[in-house]
Amino acid sequence: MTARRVTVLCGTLWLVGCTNGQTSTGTIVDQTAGLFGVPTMTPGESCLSCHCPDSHMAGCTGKASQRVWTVAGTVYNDPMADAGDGVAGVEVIVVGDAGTITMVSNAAGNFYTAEDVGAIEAVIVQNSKYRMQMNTSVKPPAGDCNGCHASPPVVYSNAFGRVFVPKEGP
Amino acid sequence: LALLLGRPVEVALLSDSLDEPAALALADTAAAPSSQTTDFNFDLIPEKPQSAEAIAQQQAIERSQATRRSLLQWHQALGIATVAFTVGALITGQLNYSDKFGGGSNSGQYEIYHDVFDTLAVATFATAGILALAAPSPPTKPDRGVDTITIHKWAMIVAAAGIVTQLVLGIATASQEGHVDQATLATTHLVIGYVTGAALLTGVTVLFFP
Repeated sequence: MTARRVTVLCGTLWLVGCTNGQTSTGTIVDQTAGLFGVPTMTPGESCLSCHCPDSHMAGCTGKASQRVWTVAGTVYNDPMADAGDGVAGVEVIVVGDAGTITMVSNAAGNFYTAEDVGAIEAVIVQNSKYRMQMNTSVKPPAGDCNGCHASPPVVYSNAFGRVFVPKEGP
Repeated sequence: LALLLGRPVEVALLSDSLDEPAALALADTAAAPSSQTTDFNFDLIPEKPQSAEAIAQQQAIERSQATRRSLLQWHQALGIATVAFTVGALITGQLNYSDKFGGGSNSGQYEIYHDVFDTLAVATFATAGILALAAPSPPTKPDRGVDTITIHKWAMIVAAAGIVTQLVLGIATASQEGHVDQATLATTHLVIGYVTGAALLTGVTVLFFP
């Protein structure tokens, strides 16, 4: 975070312009997250492939290792929805053996937490009308919802399409 | 004759009754004092020759006051800029808070603007403060009790403490992204932000009053 603030300072005071994927101070601008990344970034994609501790882990790029999520994903109204059709305001409750966390999906349908919930025992996704529940036990660090819940469905997983809850109204 | 005497009425009366030599004699006697008082200058306080040391001291004071004036003009400009950037930081900070914790959609769209405004506010505030501290003191400081400058200084001390706290708290809040205690930190950050803004505005507004 300090690096982020320093970058902002440099960018602001030294009149930095982003060119060729780098600021004039040499900071690399990630093509996915931009300079900072925002909560609505890249819905539908595997969050924990970047938001993971370090690149030594299998499947971890380490690009966002300063912001490690334990559980993250995107929620939709349809298991075959397009990546950009995420739904806001859906409650996602993750029940783990170390605790329970409740999240609300944002404007892009993304939800995420850095809290340690331990091994996931159940996940509930609900709006005011419908409630979906996954009772599959998932051990950490596998809190990457979109890693299995994708469209088209991931071949090696038992997940049928995206994380979803039916639309409340017509 | 009237012009020479400066007393036209008397001269007019005299010129009828006196012969010419007498009138000229009168003119001579009347004109005599004016020729003696051509220099109207006088010394209220007689000038004393200054020593070289006193002159050097006076020049040093003049130089330091010129520096003071220049630094305080920059201080004033940066102070006004700080207020503008602080207002921007407050607005974007409130929008960011509402977006994230106040029932918004957590889009994060205001984060970058908040970062830019608060960075600029901190930079201009720090620079303005350094300039004020670096400005030479005036040669004499009359004791006027609690005046506007005193209030300005105290308000800025509060604002400085608030800004330092906000820097630490802002970084701590952002680093808690994804954690449940982020909301508490963010609320504290918001409240201190308003207090800091109020102190800053008080410190600036008070200068408009004599």
